Amino acid sequence: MEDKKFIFDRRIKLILLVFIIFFSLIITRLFWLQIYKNDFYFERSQANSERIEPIKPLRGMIYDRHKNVLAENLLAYDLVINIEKKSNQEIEYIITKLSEILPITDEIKKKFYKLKTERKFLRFIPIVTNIDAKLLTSFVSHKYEFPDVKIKEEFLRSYPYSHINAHLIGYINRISAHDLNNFKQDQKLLESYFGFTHKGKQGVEKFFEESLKGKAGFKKIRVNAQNSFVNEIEHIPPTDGKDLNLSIDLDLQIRASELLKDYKGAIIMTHVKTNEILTYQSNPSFDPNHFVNGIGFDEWNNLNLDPKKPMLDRIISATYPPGSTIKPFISIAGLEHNQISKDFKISDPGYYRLPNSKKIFKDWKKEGHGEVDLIKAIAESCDVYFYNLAYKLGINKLSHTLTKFSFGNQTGVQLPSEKNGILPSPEWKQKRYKQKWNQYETINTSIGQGDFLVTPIQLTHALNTLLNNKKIAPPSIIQKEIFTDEFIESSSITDDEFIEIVKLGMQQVTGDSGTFRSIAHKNLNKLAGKTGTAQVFSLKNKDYDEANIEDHLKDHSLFIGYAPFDDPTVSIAVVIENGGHGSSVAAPIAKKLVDYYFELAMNHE
Amino acid sequence: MSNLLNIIFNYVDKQFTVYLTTLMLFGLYLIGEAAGFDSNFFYKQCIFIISGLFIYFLVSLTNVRTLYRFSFLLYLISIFLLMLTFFIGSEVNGSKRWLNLILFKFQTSELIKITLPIFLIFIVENFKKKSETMVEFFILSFTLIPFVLILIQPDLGSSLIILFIGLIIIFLNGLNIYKIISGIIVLLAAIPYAWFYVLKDYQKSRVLNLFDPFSNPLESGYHSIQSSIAIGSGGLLGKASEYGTQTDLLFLPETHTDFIFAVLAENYGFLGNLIYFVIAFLLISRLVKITLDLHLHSNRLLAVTYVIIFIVCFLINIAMVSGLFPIVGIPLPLTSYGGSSLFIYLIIFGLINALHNRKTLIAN
Repeated sequence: MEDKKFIFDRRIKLILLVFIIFFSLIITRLFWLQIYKNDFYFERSQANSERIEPIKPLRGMIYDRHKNVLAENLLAYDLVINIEKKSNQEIEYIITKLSEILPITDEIKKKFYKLKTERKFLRFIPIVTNIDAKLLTSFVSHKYEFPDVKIKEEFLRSYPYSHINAHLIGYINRISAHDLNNFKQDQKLLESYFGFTHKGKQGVEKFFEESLKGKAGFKKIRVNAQNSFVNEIEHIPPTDGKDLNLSIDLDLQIRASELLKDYKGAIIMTHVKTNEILTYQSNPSFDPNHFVNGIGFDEWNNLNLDPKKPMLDRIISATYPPGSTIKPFISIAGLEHNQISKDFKISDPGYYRLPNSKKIFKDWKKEGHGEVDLIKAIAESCDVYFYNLAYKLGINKLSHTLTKFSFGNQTGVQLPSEKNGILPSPEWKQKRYKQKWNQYETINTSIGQGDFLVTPIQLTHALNTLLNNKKIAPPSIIQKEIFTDEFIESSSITDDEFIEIVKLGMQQVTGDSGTFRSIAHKNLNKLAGKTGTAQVFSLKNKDYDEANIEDHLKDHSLFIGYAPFDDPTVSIAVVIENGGHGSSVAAPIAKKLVDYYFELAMNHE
Repeated sequence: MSNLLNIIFNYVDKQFTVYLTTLMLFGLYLIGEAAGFDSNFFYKQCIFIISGLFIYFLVSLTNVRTLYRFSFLLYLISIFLLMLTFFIGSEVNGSKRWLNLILFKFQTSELIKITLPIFLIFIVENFKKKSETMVEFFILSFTLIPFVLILIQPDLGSSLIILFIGLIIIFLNGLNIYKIISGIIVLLAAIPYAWFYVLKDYQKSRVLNLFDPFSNPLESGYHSIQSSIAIGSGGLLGKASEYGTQTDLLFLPETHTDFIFAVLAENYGFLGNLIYFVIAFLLISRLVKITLDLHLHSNRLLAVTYVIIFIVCFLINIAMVSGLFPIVGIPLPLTSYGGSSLFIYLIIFGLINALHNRKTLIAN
């Protein structure tokens, strides 16, 4: 018995010893967790419960020069699904349930899943964007069935004049996987887009993205395990984007759009002195509002495959042979290289034979223009006069002068995807085709044909350079605060006298015998200019029969002009694709728009 | 009235009762912090404590000899209730542990924790003259019956405690060293068997999580990680002045029950833990002193078994919450929310008081 008690006492002591060791282990563990690793675990507990939520800034508004709203932010409601910690089946279930009360098409679903795979760090993925009041109501009445679907207030970018300013303003669209990859190249850029869902993709929205988008603010909030809001810890307000005042005149835009309605083409009107753009119209157009929340696949396909190319910005991204509209600039080349003077005359039999060659170049007027001096050559657009001049000048002198007017180079307008056009020259041909220059190409260049390509904006830019006789600042779509002349260099481009001679010729274009003589006696606003007819397709030795030719092979109709000719204020370039003669389509449109400009100018005063 | 109180207090150890009540009130406060002072849990725990104390005083008055006499009957009732639970018990989270007694749910595995030691000590006393091996065989057999019944509920934590009760009694009764060694060998051999045939997947992953809790942070490792974060983020003084983000914001679920210690650790830090340990230490050392002072070997054996259960549960819960031990559903004695567990400990302590009273009676 005593033995048993002895064993008992000893074993009790053993057990107590084990307890003490166990307890010291616990104390050590607690010390390790709470004292030694405290910082680590404290951070982890914060990461658990703190969420940083970005606060989107308001995107800058876009106005025209008279403060008409061209792009604004409307309050809209999106239905978003909280996908955090959810399996695909759970999400699919939610969507199926939603489709019982809302019309959710496959298209919508496709968009949702695309966004979900592309934007991996998004917790809330929109399923129905800009939901209308009726559907919102029916959702709200079923809201209790959808704990993971939330109504989110969003600012919806809206373009109230839809297609009228589409190419100029462009649009914003959801940030895509492609954009994200680009952002990842540049950490700063990536950070600047934290909290953003949209980004400018075209036009002004793209070019002025930096200042329009603003800076996101942040809200550090505390949430519980169910991810519900508990309280706010920190709040940094967003900085809204800067508003943009464009030089564009909405009334002119609307008018230009009406004038272009039946054509494929472009109209650009600018202030001569400041090179500000007043009208920027390309037709056919599209509705930028459809892009804001992601355009549907079918609609996108239709727009892209449409042979009329509605997405093409014909002012800066399309190039055309300038045709006869190049003649005033060729004239400058002849004058400044002393190959012709104001009174230099030729006799035009209706064709030109290249010396030492059998090659014949026809004039557009079969019977010829007879005795032609420079003024008449411009006014009546005498091809033979310029063939002759070009031959004498040679391509190098010719392209030297044309380069001064920025042909073959971007004008530098503040818009994305501007094209260079082509100013043909021996160097260019060698580089492009690895071939030698032929003399007949010089002849073609003189009437704006051959490989010569320009954008409509290059035409007004060159015209404004000529009218000011100075190297002018790039065309601007931003309204200039002070109405001042802007020249890059103060020195003249050429002799003022040469400019006056060419202007006289362009004035005669709307005179009694000019190509645009149809307005000779009703030219109240003193429009001067130059018509152009650009060949799209060379009909070898066949006569061009306008009535029996397919539409897409018809000549482009061009016109450049300015008014009033004694004190140039506005300049204009009109290109109508497959429109036929410059004088019959492009020029009358230009006249109407210029007249409307002066009518408006009077009203504004 | 004061006379009656005096009589009652004469039957309990005053010092011990003060520590006991302090620890329960400490727990009550933590439940208030975890679940809210206006929550149902808080009110219910108040009622549990009051009625528990009443039971404690009542049990202190019992005559332990009577208990021994009816110990087999008590044992049978306990087994019967366990079997009943198996058939008509209410199922929570995939295990049947509770009998629904309308007023409250009764966890039948708790009752056997009281009755099993009494019955086993009864066997030891009555079979004194028999061979030791015989006694040990009986003890093991009567232990294995409830062990299996609880294991299939399934409730691994409680079943292991039952097994532990049997083993500790055999051990303290003077099991010779060779048997201990062979027993250990048998247990070690049983581990692979248990791993492949007895343990459920979720139980296995709980054990594995001990070694690498971050391998599965959202599912089986979740409790362990969140609990470590709660404790670790508490630091030296805790976050009481601001937000106990882990426990208040429910990242760590069920804080008022098994994980109540994490609330203490997060809100009051290392220092808070130490204060809690001091109270617990005073309580335990008083318990140990009372127990070891008991005269009869059988009484001392019974009391010591109860005290060991208490200490083991206490240590395992804290080890589990701080990530040293797999997550087994063992609440923190006297501190976690829950009636069944509280009553069991108060009954146990009442019984120890009763044993103590017998000693003084005999002395007188």
